[in-house]
This record gives sequence, structure tokens and C-alpha cells, in this order.
Amino acid sequence: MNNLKKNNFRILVLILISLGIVACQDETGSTDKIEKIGYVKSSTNSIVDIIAKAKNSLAKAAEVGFEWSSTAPLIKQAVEAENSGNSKLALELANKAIKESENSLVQAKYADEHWQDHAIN
Amino acid sequence: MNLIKKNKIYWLTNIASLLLSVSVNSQNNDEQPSNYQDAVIQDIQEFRDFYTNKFPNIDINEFKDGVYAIDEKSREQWLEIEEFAPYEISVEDGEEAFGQNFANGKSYIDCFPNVEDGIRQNYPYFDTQTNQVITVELAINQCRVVNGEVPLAFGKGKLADISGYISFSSREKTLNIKVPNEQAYESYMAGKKFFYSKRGQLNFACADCHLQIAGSMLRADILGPALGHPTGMPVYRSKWGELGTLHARYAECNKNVRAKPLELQGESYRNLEYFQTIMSQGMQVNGPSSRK
Repeated sequence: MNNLKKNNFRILVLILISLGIVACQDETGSTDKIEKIGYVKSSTNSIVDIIAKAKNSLAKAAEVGFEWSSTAPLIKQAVEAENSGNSKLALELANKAIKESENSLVQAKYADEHWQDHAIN
Repeated sequence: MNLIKKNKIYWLTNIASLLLSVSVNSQNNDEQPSNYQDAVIQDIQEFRDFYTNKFPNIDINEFKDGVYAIDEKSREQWLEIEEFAPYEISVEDGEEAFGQNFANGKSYIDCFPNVEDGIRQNYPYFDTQTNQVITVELAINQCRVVNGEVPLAFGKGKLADISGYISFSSREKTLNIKVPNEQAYESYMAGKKFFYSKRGQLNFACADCHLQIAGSMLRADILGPALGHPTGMPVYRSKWGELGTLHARYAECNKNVRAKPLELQGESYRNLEYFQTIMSQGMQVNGPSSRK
């Protein structure tokens, strides 16, 4: 009986710890989410901030020489959409631009580490 | 007991694998060139071997004609075009510009005194003073700047015409590019890395189109081999309607795979040209050329 109580107590502690971790993760804010997954859903971020983030990501890709030609036009379109009041489209385009820049950085890293895998000599 | 036996077998297997891998690695190291000069020579040989194996009926020296070396029908059309070469006027314009004096009374001939004997075959070269690759086009603009003139655009136009004249004067000379020191080898390796690195939204490397699947159709076009690419530069492309430099072509290739082109005559493209020209070492200069 004592063992059963102990087990129940342990399970309860585990659940509380798990809930605590989840709560902490939510408190880290949307900026960290952009860094990790690149896609912003939170309405707390203004479109202007997200477009700025897209421009920043693009600059990083350009710095390593792996900028995609399709990314800058997406940001331009996002700005135009925002200026015309279509925030939903602006958010969608800016997020797409962020994702593209992140993919180009992944591509640069892969090239740096694996280019010789594709060489004939 | 069984567990102990299993553990012993596990460790013996691991040690055997390790010994085997060391042995294999040491064998591989034995095959590695002892210095950078040997490494470059080995690269050139393996690069050529790749194309001669892929196109066994094509003489190695024919690769200077690009895609027209590997496709007979395209070659026939090209030879007809060459009878009234579309770049002739550009070469004449380039020659005229080359002979004109700068405002200070000097001219290009002061920078390139041996132009009539042919100089293209020695470009690009690695400048051991400034530790960078110098291409013909960069040298033309350096000449202008030193003499107080405004530099020309690197892609097409007047500079490409002058470059065309320099190539024309160097026809049939054989490429003789040197790797004079370790810094030069670093530039060469940077160019090699660029050549094999996948870029753009379509995730293509230069090597993907112009090495691995060279000779294949890409829509209506046949992909030309990278071997011999630099011999025919600058190139008159029908779709451009004028002469353009090798770097203009690099930029176009980058655009095609949806990568943003890099700066013309920037370090990356110059290193790429250095690597690519070294791979075509010993081949004849036949620029300017015409392509679709």
C-alpha cells in the first residue's frame, strides 16, 4: 500500500515537472521560435518585425554567398502586401522568405562540410 | 559466461574493424600526392580522365569546342555560323579600343606589351605580390584605373570586346597556368570548392550540369562539358546578341539554378575561373567563340 502511494506521488511529481517544462517553453517567446523553426505564428510580433527578421536572415545567407535569387522578391512582395493592408499575405510571404534563407544557410553549411563528397578527385 | 563470450567477440570485432580501417586509411594516404603541385597535377589528370571515359570517341583537344565537340548535329550548325562569326565586329571594336590612347597619353599596349604575341594563355594568373587571382578582365580595368580612366563594366560591352581582341590575338596558344605557392593553391582549392558546391533553390553545383550530366539534354539544350570552357572566352551568345565574359556566364548559370549571382570579378568567381582554367591546362585558346 505504501509502495502504491509512493508510485502515485512519483507520477504526480513527474507530471508537474513536465507541465513546468512546457510552461517555460511557452514563456521563451516567439523570437526564439523564429530562430529555431523560422515560422512565426504569434500575433504579438508585428509584421514590420517579421519583415525585418526576413531581411536579417537574407543578409546572413548573402554573407556566406548562398543567397537564393527567389528570396529578395518575396520580401519585396511582403512589404508591398503590408503597405496595401494585406497583413495576412505579408506574414505568409515574410515567413516564406525566412524559411528560404534558413534553407540556403543549411545548404551553405552542407557545402562547406560535404563538397568533397561530390568531387571526382 | 555467455555474456562474457559475447562481450569478447564484440570487442575483438571492434578492434579488428579499427585495425582494418587504419590499414585502409594508411593505404589511401600513400596514394595522396605529397605536395600541392602534385595534387593539382593529379586533379587535372582525373578531371580529364572523367571526360575521356564519358566521351571515349572525342579527342581530348576537341573539348575546347565545348558542346560542339560532343554533338555532331550542333557542330555542323556551329561551323556554318563560324563562317561569318557573329563576334567579328566585337573583336574589331576591341582592337580599336585597345589602340586608343588614354587621357594621359598612354594606352593598353603599355600594360599589355606582348598582346600581339598572345597573352590570354597565361591568364588567369596568381599574383604573388597581392596574393590574388588576376584575370584578363580585371587586368584591363586595373590598367585603366592606373592610367586615370574609369573602369568598365565587367560583364558585357566594351570590356568584353577588348577581352575578345586579346583572346583572338592569342588563338592556338596553349593554356599555361601556374600554381606558384601555397596561397595560390588555396585560391585554386576555393575555386574547386565552388565548382562542386550546390547552390540556389534548385540545389545545383557547376559540376552537376557540366561534369556529371554533361552531354545530357536540359530542355532544348545540351549541357556542355566544363573541360575546355575557358578556352573560348569571351563568348558571343545568340541569346545575348553580344560578347560576354566568363563571369557573365557564371552569373547566368547561377541565375538558372535560382542562386543570386556573385560579384563579377569578385574573389569567388576569379578563384572558380582559376580552378576551371587549370583543369583545361594545355588546351588551345580559341576565343572568342559563339554559342547558342
